[in-house]
Amino acid sequence: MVHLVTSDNVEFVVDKEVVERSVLIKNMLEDVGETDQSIPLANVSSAVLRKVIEYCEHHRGEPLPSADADQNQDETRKRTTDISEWDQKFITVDQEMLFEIILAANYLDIKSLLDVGCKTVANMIKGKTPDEIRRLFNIVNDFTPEEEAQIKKENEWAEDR
Amino acid sequence: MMARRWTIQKNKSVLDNDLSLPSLTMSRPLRRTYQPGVDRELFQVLQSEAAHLEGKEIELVSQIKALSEALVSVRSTLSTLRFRANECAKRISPVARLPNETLLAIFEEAVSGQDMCSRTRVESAITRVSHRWRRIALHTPRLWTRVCVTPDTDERDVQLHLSRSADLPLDVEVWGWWDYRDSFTRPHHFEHTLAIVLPSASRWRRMKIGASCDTLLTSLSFILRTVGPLDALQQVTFKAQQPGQICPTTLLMGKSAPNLRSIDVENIVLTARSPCLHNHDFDCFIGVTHLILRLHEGDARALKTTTELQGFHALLLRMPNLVSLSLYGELICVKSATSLEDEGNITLPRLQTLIFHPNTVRPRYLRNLIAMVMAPELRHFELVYPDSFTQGQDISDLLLQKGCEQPTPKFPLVERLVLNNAANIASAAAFIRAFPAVDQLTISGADVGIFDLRTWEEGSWRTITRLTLRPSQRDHLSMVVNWLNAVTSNGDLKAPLVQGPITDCPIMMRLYEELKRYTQIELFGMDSK
Repeated sequence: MVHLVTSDNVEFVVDKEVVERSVLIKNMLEDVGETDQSIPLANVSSAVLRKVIEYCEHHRGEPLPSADADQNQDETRKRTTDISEWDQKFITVDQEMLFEIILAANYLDIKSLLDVGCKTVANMIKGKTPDEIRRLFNIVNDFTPEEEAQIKKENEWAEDR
Repeated sequence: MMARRWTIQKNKSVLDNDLSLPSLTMSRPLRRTYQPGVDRELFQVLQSEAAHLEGKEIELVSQIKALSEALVSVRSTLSTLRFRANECAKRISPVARLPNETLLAIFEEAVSGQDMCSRTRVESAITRVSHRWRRIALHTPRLWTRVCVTPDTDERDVQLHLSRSADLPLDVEVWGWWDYRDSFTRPHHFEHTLAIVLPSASRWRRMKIGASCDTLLTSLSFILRTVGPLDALQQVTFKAQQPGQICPTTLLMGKSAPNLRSIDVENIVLTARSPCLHNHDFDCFIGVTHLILRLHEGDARALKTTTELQGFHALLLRMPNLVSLSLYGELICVKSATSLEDEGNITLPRLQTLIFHPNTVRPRYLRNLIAMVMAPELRHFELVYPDSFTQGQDISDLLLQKGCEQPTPKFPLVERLVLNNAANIASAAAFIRAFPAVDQLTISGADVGIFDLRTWEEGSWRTITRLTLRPSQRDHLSMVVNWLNAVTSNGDLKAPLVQGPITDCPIMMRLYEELKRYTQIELFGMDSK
């Protein structure tokens, strides 16, 4: 079992097989060896880690993506926005939590979870206008009026359609 | 005597603390004569003015110093405010917390999975959201490599994609030119739109053509012939607009694409005399490793889009490096298994994957074709008949070569076997003997009969590690349970991982539970261990 301590000081005791879906933790455990000491996760809160562990538990035993697959991902990786039913249900959370999960997956290096998060956000973006995207994610329009006019001109053909 | 006059006009603005010098207007005397009184007066005025300006200089230097200090302070405050504003924005917008590389991964997902018919292209929308999003999108050429040539394509959009994709290989799609009448309403619109992308032809990596009327397809075919070598082209895909529309053989590219690796075309019609199959032109498809031929079915027009065996054979002869061959539909006309002039075989020395989806349970030519194909290195064999209450045509006798004392498998190295409605209880034994090295088996329909214990031979398929069951009936699943019970209890083989479809049926769920006694089960969409 592995002890993890979150940024809000909550300790989780997790099965090694489960937690090793995180490449970061797997490498740490390989470097440190068997230990009872807790691993501090300064960038992950307990609420987020709970979700991450739920994901890792569910996908326990599934093969991890290989390093070769990463190298050739540009050429060979089939990008698909399909997300399995369970994953879809899992990632149906509020936006705050969704991005926290993505950040945690990125920090902990859990590629499959990062993929699920990215695909979810990608699906939210598709087919939307810039204004709709800004409203959806609360993004401030930081273009000056002159820049906006220039960009609009660049894309005026799309406005005309 | 002309009056001598010196006038000094103090610019009013000097008095107003301006930086400009007082303007001196001097009327020079025509002839200078020594007059001490006048010069003394002038000297005093100049001295007084210099003293005034010196004082002014000191005052301005002091102001500059004060302003510089104020500027530093404002800059520092601005920086702090900006930082706080960014922090605030991050709290307002969680997406702002993502690092650039993660944001880029999201953009790539969105761009690659977008609906190309959508009014707003994702990559263009992204550039208009915020400075940060724009910067990432414009600095990532691979977001801009997909170029579409459709009736709605705007030249400026294509030009933006061509320039923003830098020198990266392009994926070019030509589709949506449904109606030949467009040529009348917008003459040369197709040619003009295509002409925008033609200069980038040397960068084309994938070319996808579909949903276009015959007239414009012919035009496209002609234009492509004149484009010149497409050195980067690796993949060609063609989808017919309707049954009976013939794929121009030009789209097979031949010599014009020396690096072509994959061809996926619908409705190709080849004869031995097809122009792309010149007698001595044996190196034009030498790089092709993947060939997928499809038949667009739907009505009787599909009948005119079959390829002659001689044409098919000639094409394969020019593809010595072919590793994967897939045929969807009855598109090769093989009237007799011995209709070739040579030994009657089609030998594919490097073929590893052979896929047949005849789209009918009673194909006319499939048996003849399978009888001809020789693929000693084959690793993946797939025979998928349509789902039907009727069993698909039996080909089990063709999978074993007779002649010696014991029939030998025709494809002895196959590791992955996919069957649908292909093997029933009567032919199960032949399938098991024909594919002795199976590691992963996917079956559905009547094929679960392969596990009937009446035909199962002890020691068969000891190498199988994964069994995937597609939607099947209850009695089929119970057959798998009985089979696993028998083979695991006598230690005949290690139980493979079983994958099956999710179901709400309580009986099926009970059978899955029974299976768990022997092995690990994975259900599609959720797993159950």
